Amino acid sequence: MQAPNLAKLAPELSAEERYKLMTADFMARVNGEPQVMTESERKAMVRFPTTAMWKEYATNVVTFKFANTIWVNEIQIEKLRTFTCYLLAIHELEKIVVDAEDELPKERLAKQFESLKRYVKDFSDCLLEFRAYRDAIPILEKELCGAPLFSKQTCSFISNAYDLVDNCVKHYNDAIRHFCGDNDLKKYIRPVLEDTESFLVKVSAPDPSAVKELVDNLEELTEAELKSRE
Amino acid sequence: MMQSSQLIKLAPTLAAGERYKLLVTDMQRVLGGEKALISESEREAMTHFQNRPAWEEYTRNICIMQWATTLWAKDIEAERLRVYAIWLTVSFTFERVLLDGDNNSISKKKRAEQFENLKKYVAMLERQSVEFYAYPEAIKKVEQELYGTPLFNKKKKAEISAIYETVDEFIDTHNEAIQMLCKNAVIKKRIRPIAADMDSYLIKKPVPQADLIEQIVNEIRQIGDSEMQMLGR
Repeated sequence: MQAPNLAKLAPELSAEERYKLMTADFMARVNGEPQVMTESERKAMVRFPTTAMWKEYATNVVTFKFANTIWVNEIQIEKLRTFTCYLLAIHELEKIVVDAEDELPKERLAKQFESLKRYVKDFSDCLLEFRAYRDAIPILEKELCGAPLFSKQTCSFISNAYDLVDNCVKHYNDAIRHFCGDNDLKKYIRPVLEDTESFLVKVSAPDPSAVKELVDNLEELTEAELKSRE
Repeated sequence: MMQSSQLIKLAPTLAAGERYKLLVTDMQRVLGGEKALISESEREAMTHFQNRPAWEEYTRNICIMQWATTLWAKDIEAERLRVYAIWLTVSFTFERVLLDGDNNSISKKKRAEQFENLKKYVAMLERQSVEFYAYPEAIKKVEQELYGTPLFNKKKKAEISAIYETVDEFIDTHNEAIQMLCKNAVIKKRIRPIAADMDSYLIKKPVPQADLIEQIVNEIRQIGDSEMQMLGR
């Protein structure tokens, strides 16, 4: 079947249809696949009969661009923050276990447990922020006409980031549970046994309002961006 | 100060670069909490172009400036965190090397592994910091292209400087500890591989690489261009 001439078809297309076609074209390029449109078709697509229609289209495009740049960046930052929390927590736990038989002064021992508790809290807080992005992505995709937000490469980067963090959480929590069940170690990690919950990284679903806030922030940014360019 | 009507009259005679400089400088004043010097009507006159090439030059530069300020501040934070994560690993490994210095129960093989790991993490940190230290050069390059106008306001500039100072401190702390411990006769014996090959255990700050800087700048240019293409500007 011959491909339709999009340049001729363009004037009849709605803002939503144009957005879907233009992002599909963009994705094809980013994914290294043959592009969907020719230069003249692309030009026809962005010629709008009314300002209102252009604005509807531009709002989606700018939000899409922001998600692909700002959100990807922020997911990266949150992943790294969570990972450094993991490094600090696992190192503190290692110190506690290694120092267990050294009969350190009580005060120093207590400090180590307090530090670990603090690192675990930071770890749980960072994790919550990090996971909020994962929930926000399908919401934004739905708002942007159901078209995919990210290229294959970006999807794989995001999925790897979540796998890495999930593994860190599992590794740390498994270590705590293992030490709590070890009869030789139990006596050295009494504060952990007495208050295990405070020493485990909490894996809870992000607050829906925090997820919504992420989407709202991006949309506000889009609005400000378009306003500044009017 | 120029009178409002004068600037409106002058606007059509100004080149894209001159308009960019005036508008961006004023926008940064506002972002920094100062009062705007350019009024709304003056701004309108300045963004009204008689010819398309001048408008395209101005719009493209605005796009580059906006993407660079939005994305680079975040990129720098991500790079800082990457360097920090490796620095933590370096510092935990070094701590283990020192703590096990008088541990006779540790096998020779395991001890040798500790030193090898430390060396490996130091090299990893050096590699990772190449990108981190490329950003200030990329900022300078884009500022030069954008008629010498600073990309960031004073507050953001200070924040970015503080990030670089922190990472410099991480590196200095590690290097000073290595140098100091290698001078201590007792400790020196316990960390013999480090004393024998100190250079491999010291973190060297990378020299900015021209091609990497160009690549960072190009990424921003591409984002700006693709936005202009998709919006039909």
